Amino acid sequence: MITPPTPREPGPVLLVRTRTCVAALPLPSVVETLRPLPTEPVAGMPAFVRGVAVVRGGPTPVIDLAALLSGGAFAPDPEVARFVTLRVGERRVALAVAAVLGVGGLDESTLHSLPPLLGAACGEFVEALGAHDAQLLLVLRAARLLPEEVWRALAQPELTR
Amino acid sequence: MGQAWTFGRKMAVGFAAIAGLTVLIGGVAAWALHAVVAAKDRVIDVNCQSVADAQTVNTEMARKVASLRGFLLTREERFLQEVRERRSAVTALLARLHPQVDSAEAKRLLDQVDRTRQEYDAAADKVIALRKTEASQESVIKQFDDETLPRRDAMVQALDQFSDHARAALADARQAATNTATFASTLILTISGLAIVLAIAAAGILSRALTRQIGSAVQHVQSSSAELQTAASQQTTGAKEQATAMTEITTTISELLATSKQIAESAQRVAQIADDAAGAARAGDQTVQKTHESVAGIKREVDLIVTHMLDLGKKSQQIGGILEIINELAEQTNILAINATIEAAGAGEAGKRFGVVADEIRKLADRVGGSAKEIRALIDEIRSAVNTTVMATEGGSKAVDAGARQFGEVAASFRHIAGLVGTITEAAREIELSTKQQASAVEQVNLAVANTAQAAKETETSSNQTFQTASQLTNLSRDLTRLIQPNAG
Repeated sequence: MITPPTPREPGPVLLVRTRTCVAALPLPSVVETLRPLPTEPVAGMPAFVRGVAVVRGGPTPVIDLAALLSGGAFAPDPEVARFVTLRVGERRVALAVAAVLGVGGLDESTLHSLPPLLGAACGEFVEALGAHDAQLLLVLRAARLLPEEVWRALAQPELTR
Repeated sequence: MGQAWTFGRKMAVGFAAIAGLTVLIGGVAAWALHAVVAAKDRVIDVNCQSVADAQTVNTEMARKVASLRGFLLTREERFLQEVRERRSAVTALLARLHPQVDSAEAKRLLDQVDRTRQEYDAAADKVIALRKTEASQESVIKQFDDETLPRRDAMVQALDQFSDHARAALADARQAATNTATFASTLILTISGLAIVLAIAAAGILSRALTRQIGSAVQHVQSSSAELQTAASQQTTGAKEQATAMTEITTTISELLATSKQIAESAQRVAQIADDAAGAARAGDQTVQKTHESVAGIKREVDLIVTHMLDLGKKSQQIGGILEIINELAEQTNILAINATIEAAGAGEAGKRFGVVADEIRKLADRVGGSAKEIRALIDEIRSAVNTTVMATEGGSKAVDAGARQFGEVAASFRHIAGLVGTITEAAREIELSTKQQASAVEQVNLAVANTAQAAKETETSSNQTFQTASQLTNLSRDLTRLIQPNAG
């Protein structure tokens, strides 16, 4: 069952880049940026989940943003240069991206709602579409990046140890 | 075997056979003559002498009887002396006759004569003794008639018998000598006839053999003389051709002589040019030596450049290491600035100014990172250029090494060339000397060829003479053939 998306509040975002597009992350959801850390693969996870890394002493699932945005069509990006840890409620999730472009605001007038067809395909983590320096800009919802079943699977004791 | 005998041997054998027969005939004739002479000598020396001696004995006896009668008549001592002398003479004659007679009858008759003589002498001695006495004449005559005369008659009779026998023996001996001479004549005639037959046969055999052999030899001589004529003709032709060839050779040798002189002059010029080339090679060698030293200097400079370039590469590497640190710091600063910006945004209005500073720091960090990347790129380019330069310099150094080696080889080549040019000079001089010697030898050859041409002409003349001699030999063979075969053409 898909939870209906909550309307996005305007504010600064953290712009990150994958090998295919630029993504905007709401700055309140961003914890920090850091260099890529060693990641342990986890069995049974979707293809876009690279595994689990220890960030600030806690296990944190690592999502390959390029693979996530391609819907599993692309393999995990080998040119990952940054991890961006996001705050999802009480949890933390790390996005593996090619680069962190910086903090900035979005021109709301250039954003468009996601078409229904794409909305069904991309799930609930893409909030809007836009353009940034002639590149596709995806405004993401941090809370919907990782499905709940994945969180549950990751919450198993043997994975959290 | 006889066919293999030579002409001289057959002639010798034939003449030897005839000579043998002649010797045989001569021997037989000599023997016959000797036998006849011996028979006649015997007739003369023995039989005639015996007859003569018998006649002499008869005469001496008659004279002895006459002397005895004279003594008996005169009683003179000189008659008695004559008697004794006659006795001695008769005794000597009888003693000489004894060895001459050989037949028993003659010996018997001679003994009878001797015995009757002795009886007579004994009777005569009695009469003489009686006469020396004073006996009468009549008694002496009577003694003489009775005793002496019968003895004298017996002695004369015996002597006559002996004389008859001696004459008969003389006739027999004469007849035997005549027979011996007749036999010898017959034998000589027979052997002579046989010798004539054998000589005729030998002459015939020799004639046939010699005719055959000489005919064959003459035929051989004819064919040989014909071949000799042909050979002489060919020799004449060959001698003419040889003379012509010698003339051509003389011309060619003259040209060869001129060519040899030209070669000698060319070799002299080559030696001069080789001397000049040797001087040029020595100058080139000195130039190459100087260039080789310059190349060695270039090599040292290039080695120094390589060392500097390697130092530059190391320094660039060190700069790269420092840039890594700067880049790391810039990146870390970028991360920290972004995180500070994030924190400032979370702080609300209070963090806005800090956020601006953090963003500026991030921008500075980005610029530092970008500059570091640019420096990195430049350093990489420098390193690449240094590497390229080092490689190029090393290649240049190797090229310089190769050039130095090649210059060394060139120098060695120049020295080798100089040596070769020296050898060429020496060879050219040897060629010049050899060519002069060759020209001298060619002149000698020319003279020898001229002599050979003269000899060829003489050979031609000699061949003509040989041809004429062969013709004469052919005619002579034909004459010989006519001699042994009159009917032959």
